[in-house]
Amino acid sequence: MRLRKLFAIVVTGLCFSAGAMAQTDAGVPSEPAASTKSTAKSPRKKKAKSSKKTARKSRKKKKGASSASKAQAAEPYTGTDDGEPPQLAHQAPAPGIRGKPLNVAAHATDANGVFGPVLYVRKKGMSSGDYVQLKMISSKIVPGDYAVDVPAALTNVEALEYYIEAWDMAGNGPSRAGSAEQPLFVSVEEEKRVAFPSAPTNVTIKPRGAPPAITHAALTQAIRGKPVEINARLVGDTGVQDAAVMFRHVGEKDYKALPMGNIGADDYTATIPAAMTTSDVEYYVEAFDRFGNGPARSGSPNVPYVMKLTDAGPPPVASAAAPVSVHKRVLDDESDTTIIGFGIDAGAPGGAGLTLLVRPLWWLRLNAGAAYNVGGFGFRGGITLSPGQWAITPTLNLDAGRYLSGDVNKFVTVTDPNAQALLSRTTYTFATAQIGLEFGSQRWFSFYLRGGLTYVMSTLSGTDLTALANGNIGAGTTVTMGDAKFSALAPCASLGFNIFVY
Amino acid sequence: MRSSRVPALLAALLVAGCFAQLEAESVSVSRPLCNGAPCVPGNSASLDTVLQASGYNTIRVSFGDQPLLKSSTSVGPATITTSLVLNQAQMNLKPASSGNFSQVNSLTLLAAPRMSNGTPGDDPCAGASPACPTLAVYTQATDGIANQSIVLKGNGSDLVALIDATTHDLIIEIRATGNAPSDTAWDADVAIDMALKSRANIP
Repeated sequence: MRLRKLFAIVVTGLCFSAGAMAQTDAGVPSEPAASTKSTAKSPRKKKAKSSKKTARKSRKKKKGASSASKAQAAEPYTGTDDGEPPQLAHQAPAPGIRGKPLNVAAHATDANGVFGPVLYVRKKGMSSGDYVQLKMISSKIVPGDYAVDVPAALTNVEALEYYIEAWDMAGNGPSRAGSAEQPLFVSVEEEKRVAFPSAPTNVTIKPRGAPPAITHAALTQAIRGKPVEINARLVGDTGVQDAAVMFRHVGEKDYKALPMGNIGADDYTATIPAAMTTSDVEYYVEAFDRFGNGPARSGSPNVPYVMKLTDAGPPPVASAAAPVSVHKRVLDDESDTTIIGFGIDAGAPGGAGLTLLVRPLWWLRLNAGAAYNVGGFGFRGGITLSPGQWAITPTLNLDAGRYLSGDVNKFVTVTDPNAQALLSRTTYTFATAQIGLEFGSQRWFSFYLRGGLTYVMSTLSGTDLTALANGNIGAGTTVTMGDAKFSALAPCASLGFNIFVY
Repeated sequence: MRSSRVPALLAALLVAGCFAQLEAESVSVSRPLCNGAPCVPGNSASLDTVLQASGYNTIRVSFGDQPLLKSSTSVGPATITTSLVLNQAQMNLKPASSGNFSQVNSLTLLAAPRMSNGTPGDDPCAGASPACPTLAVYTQATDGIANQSIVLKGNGSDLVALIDATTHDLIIEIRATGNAPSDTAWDADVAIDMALKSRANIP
C-alpha cells in the first residue's frame, strides 16, 4: 500500500516537472526559416529545429504574439545561408531603479539578417520556467542596436536575472548572452530621494505639459581634434529647459553634460570642445519642458549616436539630410587647435617675463620662461586655468620661480659698503597666485590684467650679515651671524598679453 | 557709494595677512672681560670675589641704534615686532695657559641695571628693584665639570625688552661660586648666542 502511494507521488512529481519543461520551451521564440532548412543539417541545427517546432506549436496557443513575428515566421527564408549564427554583443546595464522600467540593450549582426533578439528575464532566484520573454526592438538610428524596456511591474524586486538569444533569418542560432542556466544579473535599487525639511510641506502640482519634440540630424563622422557643433530643433508647447548634449568617449561609462544654447527660434546648439574629440564619441540629446516634463531624447543613454572621428576629411557629417541652421556659439572655432604661443608680461613686484605657452587642454595653459626685475634675471613657470573661452575670461594663475641674481642697490641708496655688498647679492624664490581677466581671443591674442598675492623667500648670507653687524656694533664687541631667512607675503599685480601661433 | 567700497574692500582683503619677516637663527655676540692683557685675578681665589673686586663682574654689549631692535614699532600701516631670544651663553677662558674652570661651581648671567663701579663688593643686581632677570645659568652639579669653556643654558629671555632704549646697551652681570683659574691673571670671552626674528604685519 505504501509502495503504491510512493509510486503515485513519484509519477505526479514527474508530470509536474514535464509540465514545467513544456512551459519553458513554449517561451522560445519562432525561427522563421527553420521549416525550409534541408534535412542534412547538423545535429546542432536539428536539435534547434526540434525545439523550434515545439515552440511554434506552443505559440499557436498563445494570443498576443506580435503580428510581425508571425509574418516573419510564416515567410520562408529565400536568401543565401551563411550557416553562422548572428554575432551578439551585450553590455550589462546599470543597476535599475525599483518600480521604473529598466532598459536592456544589445548589438547583433548577421549577414542573413537578425531575428530577435529576445530578452528572457526573471526575478533573481526563481526557476528556469519563470522567465518572461521580451522581444528587443531594433534601433532606427544605429543598425544592429536593439533595446527593450523591462516593464516597471517587473522591477519591484531586488535583482533580475536575464539572458538574451538571437537567431539569424536563416534559422542559425541561437547566439546567447548568458543562458537560462547561467543568467546574467542586474541589481535593482531603491530610487534615491532627496530629503526635504519636514515642515512646512509644500505641494507642487505639476502643470500639464509635455516634453519638447526633438529634431536632430545625428552626426556620424567628425574630424579628430576639431570642435564639433551639435544642433537640434527643440519644439515644445510648454517651453524648453535644460537642453543638453550628453556625450562620452566610446568605452566610457559616464556621460558628460554639455548645455545647449538657444540660437534663435527653436534652434539649439552646443559645441563639443576640440580637446574632447580625441576618440570616437557617443552622444544623445535630451531636453525638458519648463515644468520638468521629460526628458525628451534623441538617441538614448543605452542606444546613443556614435560619431566616428577621423584624422582628416570632410566636416561633421549628419546622418539625416535635415540640417538645422547653424550659428556660431563660440568666439572663433577656427583657431581652437592653437596650443603653443608666447606671453609677455610685467608687474610689481614680480618684474617682467617672457614665457613659452603650451595649452594641453582647452582650460589649462602651462608657461615657462625667463624673468627679469631690473635687479637681475631668473626663471619661472606656472599654470593658468580658464573656465571658458569668451571675449572676457576670468583666469586663475599660479606661478613660481627664482631670481638667480639681483642687485637691490639699483632701487635703494645706502652708503654702508657692507650693506651694499649684502644688497648686491639678492637672490630669491617666489610663488604667486593671481586672479585676472583676459580680453580677446584666448586662442589667438589676449590681453590680461591680474592681481593677487606673492610669497617671496630669500636667504641672506651670514658672512655679509656678520660684516654688516660688526660695522654697526659698539667697540670691543664681536658679532657672528649665520645665514638669515627673509620671507614676505605681499600683494602683486601684473599685465601682459598672450599670442598663440601654432 | 556701495560700488566704490567694493574695490576698497577687495584691496583690504588682499593686503590683510601680508607680512615681511626676517629670521636669523644664530646671532652670536662676543665680548672679552679685559681690554687687552689678562686682567682678572686668579690664583684659585673665590671667583665671585675677584670678579667683583676688579669690577669685571659686569660687561656692556652695545647693539647700536638698530631700528629692528625694538619690541614693537610702527612704520606706516605696518607694525614691526622683534624678538631676540637668548639660546645659550659661553665663557671661554684665554689664554689657554691660564688654567681651567674646573673649580667653578656655578655661573649666572643677569641683566643688570648698571655697570659695576669697581669697588670691591659692588653688585649692581644686589637689592635691585625690579630684580635682575636671569639670562643663563651653569651649574656644575647638573652640567658637569667645565674645562676651559663654560656653557650656560639660556632660559629663553627676550633681550629686546632688556636693551636700554636710550643707550642701546645691554649690561650683563656675572655671578659665580667656586674658585677662579689657577693662573695669576686670566681673561675670558663672554659670548651670548641669540635667535633674531623680526616681522612686519599689515595692518
